[in-house]
Amino acid sequence: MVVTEEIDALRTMAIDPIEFVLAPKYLAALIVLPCLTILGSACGILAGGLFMRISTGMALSIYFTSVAHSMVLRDVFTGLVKSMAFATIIVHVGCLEGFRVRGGPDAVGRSATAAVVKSTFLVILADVGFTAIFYLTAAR
Amino acid sequence: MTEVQPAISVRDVVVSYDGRRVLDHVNLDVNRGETMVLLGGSGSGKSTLLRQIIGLERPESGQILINGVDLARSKPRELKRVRRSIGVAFQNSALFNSMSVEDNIALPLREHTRLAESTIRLMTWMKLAVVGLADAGKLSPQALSGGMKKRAAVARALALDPEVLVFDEPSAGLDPIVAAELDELILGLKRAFSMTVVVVTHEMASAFRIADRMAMLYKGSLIAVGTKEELQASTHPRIRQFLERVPDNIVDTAAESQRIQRYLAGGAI
Repeated sequence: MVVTEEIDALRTMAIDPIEFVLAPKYLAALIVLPCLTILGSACGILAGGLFMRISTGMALSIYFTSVAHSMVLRDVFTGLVKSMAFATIIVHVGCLEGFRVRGGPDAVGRSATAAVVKSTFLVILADVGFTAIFYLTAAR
Repeated sequence: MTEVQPAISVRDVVVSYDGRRVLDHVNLDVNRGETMVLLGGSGSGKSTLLRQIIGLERPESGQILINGVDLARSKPRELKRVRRSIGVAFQNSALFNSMSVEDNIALPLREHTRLAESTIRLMTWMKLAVVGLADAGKLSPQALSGGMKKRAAVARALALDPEVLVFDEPSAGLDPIVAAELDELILGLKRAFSMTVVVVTHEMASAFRIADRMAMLYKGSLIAVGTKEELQASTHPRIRQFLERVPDNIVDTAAESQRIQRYLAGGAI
């Protein structure tokens, strides 16, 4: 949008690009990423059940009962908090890199790569931080 | 007698990028209702001056006054009000491909007014009709030709009935016939709405067709401001060179050919 002067056009129309571009994406990511996390976790649990069924012949009912016993509400909560933090990182890094891009299509490609690398790195860092916090608070 | 305030006043503006001076103490007044064409070669600073005038960048020093309001020192609310009084048609049209043409034109109306949707639709259609695109509202910008995109961008620039209309290289990438149609559109808009128009271009035919006055930039400085006749009569070497399309360096093809042959034979260039 920067390269095609769309951001400049927004500013000349007295429309805040942050409000117009970043806000809807952030809101969407805040809704979608926790949903994806739930879907991903459910698929992981289901895959675990199928693996146990195929490799050891364990009944799915036993597997799901043991999953339900070992899972606590806190696990769901921490997963959702983390996903919202990741959404914040991904959208803000992406938009920051997008707003800073200068030049032509080459610069857009470089900027997209930089956004992926930086957001991946920051998501890992945030994950480490959150895991440490949740571990320490759970231990008390 | 009270002096009439210019619509746009550029006062002693200095702009530098990475230590390189792009605009060097530029002074320019654009009067209400006149069409000012900013001329200059590539890298002369005309696009930078345009970005200063439309408030996208702030000068290192100096002032840009729009109807007496200093853009660099105005509060956000005032800057927003000033921006609403300037319509900009960008070189690449800058239409949002995710929206239809009519939604592009309706965008500023939806963002800045509380008009009913039916009124916005009617106003959008009127703006499109003014630029000759009344039937193209439902199309995606990607489905438009270069000239139609420029017209749609003009319609969007007109959406909030601006006092000042700014064109960045309106003829760029257009064939001479479509470029001439766009010139007529600019003249028609000026006649119909008595707007102040600023056009950045290096197309001389277009400039002489639409301008009331012209300003010529060279290496970040204004070297001439005047009417078409004054510019045409100028004896300034750079203006003469620009008007007569004389290149800076004339390539001596025979000498170049000899240099290449020497290089291929293993000699120094």
